[in-house]
Amino acid sequence: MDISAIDNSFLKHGTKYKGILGWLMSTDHKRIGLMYMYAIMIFFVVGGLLGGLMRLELFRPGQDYITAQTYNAVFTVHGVIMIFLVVIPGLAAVFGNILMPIMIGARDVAFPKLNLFSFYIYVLGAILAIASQFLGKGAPDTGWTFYAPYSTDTNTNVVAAVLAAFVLGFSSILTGLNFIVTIHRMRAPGMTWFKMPLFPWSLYATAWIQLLATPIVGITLLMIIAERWFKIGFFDPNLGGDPILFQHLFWIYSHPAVYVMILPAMGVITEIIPTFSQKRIFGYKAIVFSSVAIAAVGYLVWGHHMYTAGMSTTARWFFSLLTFIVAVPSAIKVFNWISTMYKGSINLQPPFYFTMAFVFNFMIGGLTGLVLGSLATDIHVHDTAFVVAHFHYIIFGGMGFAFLAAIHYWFPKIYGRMYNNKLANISCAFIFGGFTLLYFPQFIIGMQGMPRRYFDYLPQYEWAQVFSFFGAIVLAVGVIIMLFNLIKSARKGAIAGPNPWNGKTLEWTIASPPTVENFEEIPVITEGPYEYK
Amino acid sequence: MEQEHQHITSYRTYATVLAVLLFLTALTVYVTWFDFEALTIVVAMSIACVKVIIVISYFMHVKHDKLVFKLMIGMVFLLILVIFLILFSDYLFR
Repeated sequence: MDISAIDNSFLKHGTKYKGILGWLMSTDHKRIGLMYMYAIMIFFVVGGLLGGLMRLELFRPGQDYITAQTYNAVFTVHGVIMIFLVVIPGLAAVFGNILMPIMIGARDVAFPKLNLFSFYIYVLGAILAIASQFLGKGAPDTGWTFYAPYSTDTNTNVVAAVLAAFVLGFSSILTGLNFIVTIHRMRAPGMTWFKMPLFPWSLYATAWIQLLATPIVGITLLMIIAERWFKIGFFDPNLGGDPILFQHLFWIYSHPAVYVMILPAMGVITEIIPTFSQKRIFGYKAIVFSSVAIAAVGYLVWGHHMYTAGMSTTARWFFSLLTFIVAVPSAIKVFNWISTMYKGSINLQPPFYFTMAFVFNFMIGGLTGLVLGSLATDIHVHDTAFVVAHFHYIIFGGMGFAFLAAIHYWFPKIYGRMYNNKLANISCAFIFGGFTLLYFPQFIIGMQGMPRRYFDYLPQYEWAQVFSFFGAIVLAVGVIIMLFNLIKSARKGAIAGPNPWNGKTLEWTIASPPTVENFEEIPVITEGPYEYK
Repeated sequence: MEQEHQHITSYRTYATVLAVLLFLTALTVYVTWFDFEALTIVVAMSIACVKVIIVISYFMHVKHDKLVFKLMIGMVFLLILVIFLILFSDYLFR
């Protein structure tokens, strides 16, 4: 068994420091990406356990295990952890860091020290977020959206949670800045914009959102603190403020943030499908422009979160129109993926199964998004379990499954070893089955009127809550099987070789795992990234 | 390594820019004495925009920079303008 590639790789060599310091002090983009991944996975498990606690409480009507106030705190903490610590950094910080420089033929990102600094800001924000649950007068109970005027009035520990989100925003901004400069300045010779792989393209579109939208929520969160501490009337009507202004400012960032989550996911899927179809991507430029269009139009649709908040009718129909427009580039991508598979040599491997699950979930999440984007139907299902189901279909069913697809796709590249295919397929089946059982019933009871964020409900909704509970258990079993398989294989799996999937992008031309410098010589690019013969 | 063109701005220009910025700051305070009603924000934002453009152009040297950077910054201004227009489709028609 040839393990020389692993011995020569970034996993074994990095800085002058040994052991854990060698990782914490490393400016190697791959090590930083892996540190993000380990942190994110830990937070994912914590957030998932909190989600499980909610499911347990909802198993039967009435109060069973936790009080209403605790339930409020639990869904707030679940949201804050999952949104700000898991899915927003998610794919960009992990796979963007590890693979984007390699895919464009660079040795590192443009600002390696800034990259490490971004990670430390992320850790600081994470510590603040966790601390906010234990400090002060109780865990925040506002939901992850911190809606004013409640967030400016409640006695719970909102300031620390808001500060955590503010700090985490800086990590996101700096990563976005780093990626923009890297992609502009460090592409390999000959790699024109339209010869660049589509995952870096999706990261580029995402980075602009991170850079331009995040400061808005940063300032908004500071405005909450200013109102709480200094009684400056931004949002509280009693002080001359406007509570709807908070919702505008919050969603001006937080809707584009959904695209921070989903655009890199689309990029991952766009890499995997050509590899496992052994066929050139269908409509390369259409995918590029649809990424840019999603990033651009995605900025302008925030008001669809606020149809029932008291906005003007003019604004409501305008936002509804824009929301329908943003569905078009998303649909273009789905058509391109399916067209790429058409008449391809499909290779059914675990990353491809996760990818298919993504496409299926994303279609359901996307189409139910149109129900919510439409004014009349949104009034009916606003703030119901339907929204919970839609959101989780996009974020978990979409971004989450893309993350799992990515980890199974690039695992042999990152660790130089292969996982057990059979176990990976079994875990995929469990995760997909559990996910569907967990969230699909919420669509049905949402349409029937089950409100979200309620810890109690009418008996008529019990059947769905029971289904969802068992779905959560199946999902958890799938995650445990997957983690067992990946953790074990990272240490003891069979040696993978440089290109186990016969991929064509640059990362498959170098050793697995890559060396510290990635390339012995920077490659000269003469053709597109998906030229399967 | 390609030799980047460097532009050196004179102290006189910097002093003039500083004076203009201070004048605009005073103007920002002065206009608060007047009630422009619905146009209050437009007036305040217009003065702020002029200040931002001056800072970006001179202090951040974008005036002498490549077209691509000018386009990027222009794009950001366009985005802010569009966000404001959409935001006021709520406030003006409520």
